[in-house]
Amino acid sequence: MRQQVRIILFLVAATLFGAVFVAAMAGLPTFGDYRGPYGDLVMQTVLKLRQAQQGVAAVTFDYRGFDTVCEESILFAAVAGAMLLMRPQESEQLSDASDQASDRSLPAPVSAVIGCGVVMFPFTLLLGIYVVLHGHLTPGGGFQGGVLLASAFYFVYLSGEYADLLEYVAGHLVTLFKVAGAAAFALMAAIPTLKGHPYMLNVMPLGKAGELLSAGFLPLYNCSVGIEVAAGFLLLLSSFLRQVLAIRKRRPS
Amino acid sequence: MNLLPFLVTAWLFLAGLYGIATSRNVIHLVSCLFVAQSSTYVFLLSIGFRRQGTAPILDELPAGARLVDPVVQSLALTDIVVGATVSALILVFALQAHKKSGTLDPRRAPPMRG
Repeated sequence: MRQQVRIILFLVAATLFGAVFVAAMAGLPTFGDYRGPYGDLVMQTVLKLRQAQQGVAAVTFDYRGFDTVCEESILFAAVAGAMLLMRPQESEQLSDASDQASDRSLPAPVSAVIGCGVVMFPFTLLLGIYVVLHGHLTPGGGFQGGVLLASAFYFVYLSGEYADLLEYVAGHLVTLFKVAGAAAFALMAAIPTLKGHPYMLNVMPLGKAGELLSAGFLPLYNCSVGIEVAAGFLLLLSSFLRQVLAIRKRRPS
Repeated sequence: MNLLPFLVTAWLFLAGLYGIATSRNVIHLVSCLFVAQSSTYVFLLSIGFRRQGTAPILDELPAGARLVDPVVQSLALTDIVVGATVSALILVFALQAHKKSGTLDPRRAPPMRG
């Protein structure tokens, strides 16, 4: 009964919202006819002012770079919060992953799956590094490349044992990478203030557009964000795995 | 069909919201939140789209090429990454709530205490 009331309430609200939303959208410029000035202004100035040829990266890390610092800190806080919540609680203990169904035998590892993982891991890693490093030249950047880097390690998990993956993430190395990426981004953004410039002003030598070292700070920002995103997603995966496989309720003794 | 992308936006948003309103499982709720959030990607990208427009990358472009808006693409980019990590955070909350109360139903779970 309450479910029905809930649905009726939702339908009324949704109809109202939908009608107002579509009416408002009808007043926008027609689809495919973008005429706002900002995109065009960015694309006209990005080559002259910044020696960058990739509009999206230039907007992300330069034109509205301050926003990106904030968003990147949301990412940092979300991963840090998730890890904080997933630490072993007082009532729990960390144990080696135990066999939950000892009466069933493990299926033999399929060589095709392992082979797939062995092939995919280095290529995905390489692709991730490429996407991060060329983020200011071609489609890509720190965020996208970082996710690719992390998914390279997901192949290790899929094709092997989770213990292999936890070995990579064990200790503080990945956490260090994550913190170093976040700190490098925020500190590099603060460098211009030492010279009395505004925060995040692109004061690095700009180089020549199209070269690997060009567009000032953009490749450096891409690298730091790439490292942070990759380490963050890896930490998330490993702490979820640890929750499922290694953390058990402490038995009353 | 000039309104079609905006209708898709409204549909995605409302479908996600319907899922959230009627959800009996937190994991399902997070997925619905992500569906609702993906409406913003469609919305942002369709605002900046330009017919016969090409990617906003100035590399060996023919003269007078039409470019789509890079600003909304940049917004969608960070939207996706932040959305993914925030979903992970909500899933962690669901996990811990399940440990405490033994249920994943957001309506049956008792109020949280610090």
